[in-house]
Amino acid sequence: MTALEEQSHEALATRAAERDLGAFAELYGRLAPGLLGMALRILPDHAAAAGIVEQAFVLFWNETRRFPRDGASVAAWLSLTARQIAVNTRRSRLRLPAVSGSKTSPLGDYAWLPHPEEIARIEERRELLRKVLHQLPKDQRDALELVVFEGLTEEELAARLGEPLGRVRSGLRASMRFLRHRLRAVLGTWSANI
Amino acid sequence: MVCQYLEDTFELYLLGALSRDDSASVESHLGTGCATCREQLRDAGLTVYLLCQPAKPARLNPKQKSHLFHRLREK
Ligand SMILES: [Zn+2]
Repeated sequence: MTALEEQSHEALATRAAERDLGAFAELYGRLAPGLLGMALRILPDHAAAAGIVEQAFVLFWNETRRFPRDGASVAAWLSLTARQIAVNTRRSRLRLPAVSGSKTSPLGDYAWLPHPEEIARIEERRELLRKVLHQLPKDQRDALELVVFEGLTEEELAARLGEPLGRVRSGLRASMRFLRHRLRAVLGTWSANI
Repeated sequence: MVCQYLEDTFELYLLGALSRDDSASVESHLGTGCATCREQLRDAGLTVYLLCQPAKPARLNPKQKSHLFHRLREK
């Protein structure tokens, strides 16, 4: 049997589905610090942020048997799930409704999950990708920050900035398009220039 | 086709930032199984993952880990 440290996140998740706590602890050791860093940007209170990370891991533990065995990134699932919990906790403290799709959470099925190899390439090129983020004009970066870490909706963002919804909406879409194209280029799928 | 209109909305959809109506139209279109949009949804998953990454990881204290594993053992 291969040592736990040498296994991929996804192989560890497969073992966790068989209720292997050792494998799950290895996964926790790898991913929890990043998730906590993210949760702290959303809720600066350490105990609350740590509670969010715990909730995300408990959910994942319950989900491991259903989680796709192939081609779906565990790190991406945990990141976006923890973000959603953190953002909704923050919103409920502010008496705002939870963010989600119309009926269910957009994260509720696994269709959106990127490939583990792509996530690994993002990790390898994190520094470069950080520069890409800084290529966005500051006001666009700030707007993204409010959406990602404060969990504002487009409408709330427009109200916060005191700008027309149409402009805010097209600005956000343009930022996403820019990032998506740059990301593809950095990951080598497209041959655009960085 | 609606697809073109949806092209730049998948990231915001995953982030929960769309209005209820827009989110519902993304959902119902994805429900048709459109292969192009499902591919774009996965691309959006990558972009959103990148956006969520903190500049710095944070240290968890060992109590937090043992609390979690205690809970899991109880299950
Ligand atoms: Zn489509």
